Amino acid sequence: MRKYLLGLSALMLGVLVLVQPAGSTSLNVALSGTAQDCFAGAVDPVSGVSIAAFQVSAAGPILAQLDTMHRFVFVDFDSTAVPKFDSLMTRLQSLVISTHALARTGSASNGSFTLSFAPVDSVVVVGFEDMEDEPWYYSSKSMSGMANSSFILDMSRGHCGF
Amino acid sequence: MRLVVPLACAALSIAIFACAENNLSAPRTVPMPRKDLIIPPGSTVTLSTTSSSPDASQPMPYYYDPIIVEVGVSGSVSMTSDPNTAVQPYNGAMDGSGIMVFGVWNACYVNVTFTWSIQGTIGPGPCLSPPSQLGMWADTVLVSGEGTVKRGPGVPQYTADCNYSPCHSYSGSQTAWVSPLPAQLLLKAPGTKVVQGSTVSFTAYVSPTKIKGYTVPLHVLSWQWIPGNGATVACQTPVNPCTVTVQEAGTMIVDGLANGTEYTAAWSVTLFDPPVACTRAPLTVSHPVTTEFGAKDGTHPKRHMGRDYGVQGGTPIYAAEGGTVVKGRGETAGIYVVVVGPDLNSYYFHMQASVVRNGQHVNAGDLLGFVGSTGHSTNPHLHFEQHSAGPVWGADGKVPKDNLIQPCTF
Repeated sequence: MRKYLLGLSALMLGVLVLVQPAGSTSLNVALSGTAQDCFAGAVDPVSGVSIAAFQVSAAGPILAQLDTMHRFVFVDFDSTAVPKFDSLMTRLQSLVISTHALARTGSASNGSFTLSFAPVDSVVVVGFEDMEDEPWYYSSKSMSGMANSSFILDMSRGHCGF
Repeated sequence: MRLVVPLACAALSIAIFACAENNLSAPRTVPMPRKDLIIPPGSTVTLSTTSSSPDASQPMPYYYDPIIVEVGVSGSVSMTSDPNTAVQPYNGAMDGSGIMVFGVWNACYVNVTFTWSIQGTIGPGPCLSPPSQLGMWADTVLVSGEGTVKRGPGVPQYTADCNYSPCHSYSGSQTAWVSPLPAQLLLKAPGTKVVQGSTVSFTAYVSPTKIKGYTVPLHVLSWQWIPGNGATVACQTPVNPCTVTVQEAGTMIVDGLANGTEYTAAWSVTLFDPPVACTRAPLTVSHPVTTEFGAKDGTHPKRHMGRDYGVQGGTPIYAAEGGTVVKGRGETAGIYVVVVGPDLNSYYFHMQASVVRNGQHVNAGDLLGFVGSTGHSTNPHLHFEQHSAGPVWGADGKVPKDNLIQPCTF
């Protein structure tokens, strides 16, 4: 009887193993993006951008920081503006690094990247990179996290008309 | 006779269908005052402009794509019939698709008075290819005008009392026009200033991109690139975006339909002026260019907005042009000085130290500071960048792109 039960258990385990999906990646959402800027009227894909996707409901501090930066108004000849924005940028980078992300990646030489994760209601994608000639090089985009999609991560933040 | 027939109908339910059919056998016209009317699918509809149309001089537009229109019914629907019948609106009189649905119980004759106003929404219609007849669009658009609604065969109504066969039906004959919701056609390109020989992509788009949750259809009709020497066809439709190699300043013009309404949009580009000589040399020692304007390399993952000169740390930097000093220190630019002149702004990044103060006026050739490697820099160098007159920083902290110029040479 015991042998029979053991055999039955082994059979059930085998069945369970058989019905288990080979991997969970097929259930993931893939957000395919291109980090791009522009120069001289032409699209300029940007490589090396550090990119992370966060569930919106879990990214309150990041969203608040992005909002603060969005509302910051530069005034020429105000020597305090640059260090102020520097500190905002440092804080953003720190939050992006320390907050649990759904996925992280970097943009390839053609600016492309893919973020893959289990579906969530909505995500905010944040990208930044240190640039020699352009301070505060960052961008963000909020979108649905329920289905595959492709998008442009506009590193010009609206200056290129993407 | 009217009194007799309803009584007969009420007494003999089995006769209802028959008498209703009898009544319908002689279609009669229900006069309709000027109303906004939604023509049910399958109706006989004549679409044509009339003198009362908002734009009577124009023929009905030819829609390549389903268009989004304001449509629907709100308000009241009142029906009268013989005293012994029950007539009431069905499903709140509106089924959400823009088509009136109502039920008629035990009726031998019905007068229906529609009182409605334009509200609600209906999305793109079922036609995915150009219709062969304009009338095919009638079930997707709001039509407005005067006309008549007749009883007659053709459109099934509530059928439960007719053994689930059509019993009452209406068809419409209506002079009408369509009213697409407004959307604009716009054109954009990544910048207004280009280097000669650049490949520039012009993208036509609509604004808003969605109306009532539906994507606004865009149909490009033509592209025309007008350089200084005359107009040329740039791309064959339906290409979008249209890419051209810009050899001289010019304007791209696109003609297209945004939600069924034709618009023209334009985007002009000018060429970067060739670099001119600096009024005074910022560096007076040998100054090899390590990264050229517009170049990309391992340390410049996007196109370079200035020109980098690799020189020893501590090398004096002089003002190429005169103006007022904006200085500071940032994580990226390091110690920087921007000289804001009447015609152009000159940016000097990564200094070891600056010797000028904020708001100070400097002349071309005045000492600004010394070459360093502060900020995001791996080796001592001068990042020299120039923009035509404008703000040093945009309000959002971005260095402006649209007034970028090739830095002067020395």
